[in-house]
Amino acid sequence: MPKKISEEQPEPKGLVFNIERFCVHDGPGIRTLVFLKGCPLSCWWCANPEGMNVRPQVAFFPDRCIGCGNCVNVCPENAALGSQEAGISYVIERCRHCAECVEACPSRARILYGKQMSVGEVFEEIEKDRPFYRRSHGGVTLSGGEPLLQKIFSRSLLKHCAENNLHTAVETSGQADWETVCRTFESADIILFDFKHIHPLKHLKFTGSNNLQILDNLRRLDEAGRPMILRVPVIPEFNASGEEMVAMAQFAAGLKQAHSCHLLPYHAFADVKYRCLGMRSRLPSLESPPNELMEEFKNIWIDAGVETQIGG
Amino acid sequence: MTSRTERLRSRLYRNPPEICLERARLYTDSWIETEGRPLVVRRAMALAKVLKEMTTYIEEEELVVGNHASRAFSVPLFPEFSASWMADEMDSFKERPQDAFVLRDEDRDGLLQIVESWRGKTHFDRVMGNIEHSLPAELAEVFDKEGLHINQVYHAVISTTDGDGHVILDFEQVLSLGFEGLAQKARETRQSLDPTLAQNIRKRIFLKAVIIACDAAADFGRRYEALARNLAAQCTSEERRKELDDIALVCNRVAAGPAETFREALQSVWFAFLLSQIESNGHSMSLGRFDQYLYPYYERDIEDQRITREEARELVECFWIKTAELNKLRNWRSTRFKTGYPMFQTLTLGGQTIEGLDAVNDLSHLCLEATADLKLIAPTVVARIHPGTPEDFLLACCRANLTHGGGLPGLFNDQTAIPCLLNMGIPMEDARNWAVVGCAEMAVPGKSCSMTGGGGYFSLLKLLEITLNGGTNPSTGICLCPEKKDLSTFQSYEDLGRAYQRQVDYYLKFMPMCANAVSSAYAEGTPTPLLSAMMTHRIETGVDHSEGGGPNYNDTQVQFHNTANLGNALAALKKLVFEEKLISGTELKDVMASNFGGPRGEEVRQMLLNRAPKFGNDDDTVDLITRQAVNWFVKGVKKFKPIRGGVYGPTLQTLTSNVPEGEFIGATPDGRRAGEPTSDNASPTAGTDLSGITAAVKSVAKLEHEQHPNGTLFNLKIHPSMIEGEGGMAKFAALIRTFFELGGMQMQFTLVSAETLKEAQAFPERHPDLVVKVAGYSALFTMLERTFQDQLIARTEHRL
Ligand code: SF4
Ligand code: SF4
Repeated sequence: MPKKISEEQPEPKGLVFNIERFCVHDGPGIRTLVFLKGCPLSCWWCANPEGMNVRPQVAFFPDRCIGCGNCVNVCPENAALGSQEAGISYVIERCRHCAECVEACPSRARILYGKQMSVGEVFEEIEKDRPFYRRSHGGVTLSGGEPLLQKIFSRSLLKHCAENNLHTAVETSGQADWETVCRTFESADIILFDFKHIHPLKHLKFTGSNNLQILDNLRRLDEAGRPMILRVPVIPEFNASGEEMVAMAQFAAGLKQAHSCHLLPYHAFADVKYRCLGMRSRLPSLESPPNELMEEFKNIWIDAGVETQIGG
Repeated sequence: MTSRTERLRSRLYRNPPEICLERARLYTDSWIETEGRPLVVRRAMALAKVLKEMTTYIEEEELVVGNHASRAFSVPLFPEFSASWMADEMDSFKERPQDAFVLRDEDRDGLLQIVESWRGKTHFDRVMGNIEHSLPAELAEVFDKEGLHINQVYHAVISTTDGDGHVILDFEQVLSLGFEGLAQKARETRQSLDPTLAQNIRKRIFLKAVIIACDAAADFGRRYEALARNLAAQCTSEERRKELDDIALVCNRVAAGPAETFREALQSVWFAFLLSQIESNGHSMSLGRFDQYLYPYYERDIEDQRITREEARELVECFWIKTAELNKLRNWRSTRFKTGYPMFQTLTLGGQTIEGLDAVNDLSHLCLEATADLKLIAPTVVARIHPGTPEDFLLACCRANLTHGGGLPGLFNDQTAIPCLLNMGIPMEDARNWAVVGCAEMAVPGKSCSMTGGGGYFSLLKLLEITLNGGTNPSTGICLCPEKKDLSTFQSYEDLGRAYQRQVDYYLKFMPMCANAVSSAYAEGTPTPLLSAMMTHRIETGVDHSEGGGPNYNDTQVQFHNTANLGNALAALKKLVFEEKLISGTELKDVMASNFGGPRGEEVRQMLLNRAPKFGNDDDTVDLITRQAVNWFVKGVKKFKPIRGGVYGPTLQTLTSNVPEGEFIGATPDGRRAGEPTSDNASPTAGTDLSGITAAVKSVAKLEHEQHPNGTLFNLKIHPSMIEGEGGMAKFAALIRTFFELGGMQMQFTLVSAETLKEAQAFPERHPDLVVKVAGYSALFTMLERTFQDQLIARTEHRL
């Protein structure tokens, strides 16, 4: 029996936009990823745009729409328009994301990203794959969005999982005050820390925030002896140059502990999602960094003395 | 691969498969000459004539010798099993879209003559006669003689036109006695049978046939000895001459007596295996525990430095290539159920010893290496996994899968298979010695006379369609078991469930009726004395394999098809029609009758697809319905006992029949359109398991696998990027171990390559469930835009 969640307080709820099973690139073993909605940064290359906004969001996937018109009939805001003949459209500006149309849509052409879930509810989902975690030394990874933005929920969920003998990991941008980082990740066995750029201004331009607090948190987690993996997105026009990689690798090599590094090549697979959410990708359809370049970068990191692999 | 095996391999498919009339001619001639003699003796004499006169060849560079037809990958014909279709289909063999064969122009008349002389006298004719004369008249009348089914629910197609096959010989016996030793054993047994006793007459006749057949087999080996000597005499290369001399020596030794060396043992196994196929025409003749019965020879030769590991591996590769040379012509109907020239020559590795200790040895690893390297479709290498299987062996299986890409080795779970066999009353020592026959059937080598095909299959989804239509099959108009209610009048889900069960009970009885008719036809017309001699106990009991009976173990296979569709359909009816009442029974019935036409047709279909739970997502509300529905059938067949003794052994395997089978099933409540394929094997319906691999694995594990002694198959498609690297391999292994820990029986993988991705790009409808993992999230490949698909294709190629 899983242990009970503390009885005194009401169970914290979190806004979850996806729970994905059988993830093998986000921490050791076979894992379940819990995606929390909302992020303090807005990186140009974000692969999970549905996780950026802190509120629930409805997306419309025209490819799956059969034109039945149910959404048009139920929408209180006139944000779903059209007919079978004329085609169905979605006026994002009017939408209040009430999700009435999601309920009414038979074909999953309308998807609601962001559902309020209690720690217990999320845990129930996580618990389903325990036999796989046991065999593969896997567990749960909190991702997003940014788990730090839902700090009470993240902290309770991690704690609850740890108390129930699950291996816990978080994937984080590290953007929060030190106190929050410390408390939220108290029960995390390993932290997958996004290390995006060494230069504060470039970081500011491409993510909406400088990296001073982030790098500070990185250093302090390191000093506190917390196990980490550095996750480096390799983004053309942002950090995909030898010079930038050298600077980052040197920074990493200067940390107290030896953390391994995962170089994650940019891809544009999220473009469809951007469109369906009515959002605009800031880096539409760039080429992924070629494999040879990735190998080159990997060698830079290895030469600096950091254990490095391409991919998670 | 060595350079030799690489060349042998590349020559393998250089010619299109041809039809070779030689066996059919020789067999037919003999049949005419021996008229009037006892049947089993005639069979032995016909075999002897074939073996004596058929073309034998030794290919350039071959080390393991012995051919099936006059050219590699060509097919011998077996007109004694069925013939008329050969005349009917002869003009289309070459053009048919799948599994085409070439019939040479000069052979057309010969083939027609052969067909003519067998008209009315084949196994197929006996099957039809048995059905016609044993079934109650009103049922015999509804038996569809073209399609071989009863109202499209029970299909008796499988063993009506071909040999039975589906056995593993007692290779240990063959290795220790040789063919002359077997003949000698038969002679001694025969001498000990008092000819004045009534029960001995048939046995003495049978053993006479065994002696003829075994002597012929020994002579067959000697023909290769002579051929090798001849070739050696003409050979200009010193090296090849030496090889041919060795071949001659090896053939001489195994013809006469026990094998001594690893090489002799391999050759002996090949002859035994090949000859059983020339005699019996069965597919799914399997090779059993190859790494176990050959290991003593291997170990001794390595120890005595008579052979190096590399030499042994080359011999094993030569053996693999020989299995890939075997082929079979099937009629068009059977072909559609088994596409891709399959022979189902399964070879089992690993597992446990009869004492329950781990059985993996160096030969097991060597066989895996050969399999991964050669990337052939035969032999079908599978591995038995148990909790004590060393991790390095499981990892080697995973790596072999990744290299092979096309699903070898498949993996089986000892922890489910052994209880399954114990359930059938097989003692522990034998149960631990099990091996796979054909696709997934569990057998004790030498001891199981599994009658795999005789049982036919049930179309579970068709039966639901019939239930929803008040007992009438809309495509045939036939109503055999009328229901008072139909979908528009069922009051509750329980109401529907009861009606379905009534239909199940009604239709189940056709299985024993037809299976017994098929089984008796084999015993009446096509005994197999050579194969029998190579099985355990048959010489001692003096009874042909085809008659079944103890002390051998017997089971007759019965297949249940479209399980996932049935579960999904029932769950959708339960939730949407009876609980939430979002669709009325009447509306659904109308909408399905018009194949989801009409103004609300597509909307209803989308609701069925998206608003009801689907098997394969770890959702008990549908998984347990599926399990229960399958169990209605499993429980039902237990009441019956097959004519050959033993039990009816259920299985959830469908081969490729899910495509043709779907063609005659109308629109169904799982959202499937009329005519679309049904689900394959025990797998979730394609494109509906969307909650990740672990969820699919858990759903499938919820079925009661230990109730299916003829196996359950679970096809899993995984993108190689998910398991690449050593870390990935460990996760792959953990996935397999967990499935087995949860009670699963078998899993096999398609680790899709860039090629597949390209195909998926061109034909997205064929790959709706292909998941690709992209660092942060997963996506359905076919949902990605073309440019991104291109990117992924490029990347995958690099990663592999
Ligand atoms: S979420 Fe609400 S407001 Fe937005 S389109 Fe749907 S029904 Fe209309
Ligand atoms: S309800 Fe769904 S399928 Fe119907 S028109 Fe709206 S988006 Fe399209």
